[in-house]
Amino acid sequence: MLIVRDLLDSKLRDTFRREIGRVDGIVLEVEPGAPPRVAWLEAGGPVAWRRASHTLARLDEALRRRWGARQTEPARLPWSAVASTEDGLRVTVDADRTPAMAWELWLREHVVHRIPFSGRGR
Amino acid sequence: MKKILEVFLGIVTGIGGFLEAGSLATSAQAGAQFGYQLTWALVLGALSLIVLVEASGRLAVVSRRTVAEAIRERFGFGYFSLPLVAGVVVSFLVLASELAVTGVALQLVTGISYRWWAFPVALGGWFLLWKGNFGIVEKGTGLLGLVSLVFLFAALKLHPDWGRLAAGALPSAPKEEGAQYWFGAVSILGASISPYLFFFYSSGAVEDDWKEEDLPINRITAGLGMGFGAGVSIMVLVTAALVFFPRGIEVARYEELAMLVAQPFPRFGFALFVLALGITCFGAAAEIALTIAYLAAQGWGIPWSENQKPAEHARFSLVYSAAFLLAPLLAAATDPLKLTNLSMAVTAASLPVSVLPLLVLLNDRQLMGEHRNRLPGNVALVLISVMAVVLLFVSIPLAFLGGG
Amino acid sequence: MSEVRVERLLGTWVVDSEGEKVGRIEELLAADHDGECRVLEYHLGRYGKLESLGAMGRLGGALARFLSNRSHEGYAVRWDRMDLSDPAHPRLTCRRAELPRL
Repeated sequence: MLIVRDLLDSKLRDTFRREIGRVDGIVLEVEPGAPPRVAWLEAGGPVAWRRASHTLARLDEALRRRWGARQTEPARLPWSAVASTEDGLRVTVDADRTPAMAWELWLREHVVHRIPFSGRGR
Repeated sequence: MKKILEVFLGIVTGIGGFLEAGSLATSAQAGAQFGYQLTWALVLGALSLIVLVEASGRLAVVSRRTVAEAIRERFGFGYFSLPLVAGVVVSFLVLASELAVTGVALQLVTGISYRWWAFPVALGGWFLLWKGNFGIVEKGTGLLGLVSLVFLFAALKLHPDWGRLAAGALPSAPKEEGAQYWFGAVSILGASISPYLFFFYSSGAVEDDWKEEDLPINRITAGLGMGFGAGVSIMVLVTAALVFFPRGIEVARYEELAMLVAQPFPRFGFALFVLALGITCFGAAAEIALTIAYLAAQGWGIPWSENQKPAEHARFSLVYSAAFLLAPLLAAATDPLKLTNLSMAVTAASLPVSVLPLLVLLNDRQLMGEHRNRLPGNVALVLISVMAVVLLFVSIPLAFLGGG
Repeated sequence: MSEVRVERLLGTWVVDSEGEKVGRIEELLAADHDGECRVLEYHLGRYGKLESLGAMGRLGGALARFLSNRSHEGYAVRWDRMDLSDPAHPRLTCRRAELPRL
């Protein structure tokens, strides 16, 4: 498996095949005498923006803190919870329990549901 | 039978959905200032668009990824931020101009300034996306947009010189006003090859769940739909060449374009023009706002679909809502024609960041399998890429030298 | 044990044991081993992933990538020959000449 081609920027889905986001960062654990191990996949947060520009990453962090979304950290998913499938990577977590969905749930509850015809209560 | 209907709808939607504020203004201005001479720019733009749209549709069907998703995956977020920012900024400018021009159509009927109309028009567009689904947005506005065929009939009624039109289809140098001529060419190319078109088209292919057996439909829709649609744009140029050019009238405001239809059809021309203007620009506004949401969502891996209720995809829905909230502010603050001309130049300049990746993606064996580009497709894409890079360097300077 | 970010490694220049530039980190080859994913090789090349380049560089890089797919120049570095104690400046524990080409 090629890490950059097949892992980085791939789509992430949870146990229920809902999209969590994309792999914005990959964390290796390096110890002497052993090949580095893929430890965590990260999705969301300033990780993505840091790859584009440091200024934008700081802006993104500041905005998150201001608007009080539950987490400013990206979702950290352990490699042990990851499986590779045809349409991206499947992670054995419930998306709603990850910070990745923090914005989505907050916006749904506090903004979208207050607008008529949003499909609330389906 | 169902497939024939799909093909027919696809072509018809392409025709009805092609004309909008940008193509209308750039074609009319070109015809008014230079007669048939800039027809070649429309032809070149149309051919390029057909290649790009077919390619993005094929990419979406075979790789099961939209153009934005494929760029993100293959080139990483670092690169993707370029077409993302460029796409959102350019689309926002164009969205504002579409809202303004829809407002102009309403202004022609009611006398109330487009600066006020921009807001209820934005609300209407937002409601269409909020309550509707992809089929309604694309096919509904496309079918209603067939009223733009009035320009075809107007052109026919005015008896154009087909020989000179054909001659205009070949590139030629201007006799005078070089900067304006080339700016006209650049704007036409920007209006024809707006990146939002192929981002939207590839998203549509995924929304409509096209499969590999739909690839021929993709080719026909791209070729005939965009082709005939460009034909309508050419008819706008022709009517301007026949109505404005002989009189030396330069187009300074959208309202003046009513003459293009009112002159050949004194009884109903004005009403038809207003309908065509309003419907096509409104439809374009909805599609562009949706495209902004597609770009943001697809690049981030946020769930997206116009076919779901807004509550299912809160972030996606709120992106296009934010676009509709902010765009009318810009629309109300500027002159519609100047805004359109500027946004067409900026669009032309932004082409390389979206077009160059296609060149790489469509040759990717892992993504495209046996459907990757062959030599003719690559030659076409390389030529378009070269043109895009040239446009990057000349469009903004030309906007200052030759623009409004 | 230390943590290293793959996206930060991408595009970073690697020098060999004598300080000679070898190439940018373009790719990591990994394999599953007892449920763990371990890096076996680093692939070094001229371009790295596009994000390490500036904006215009990314455009040129995309094209260069396409054109260079025909004849890819690069090196494969086994995991135990890469010293990541300073992730911003990776070093090889051997000389460039000892590396197999890609």
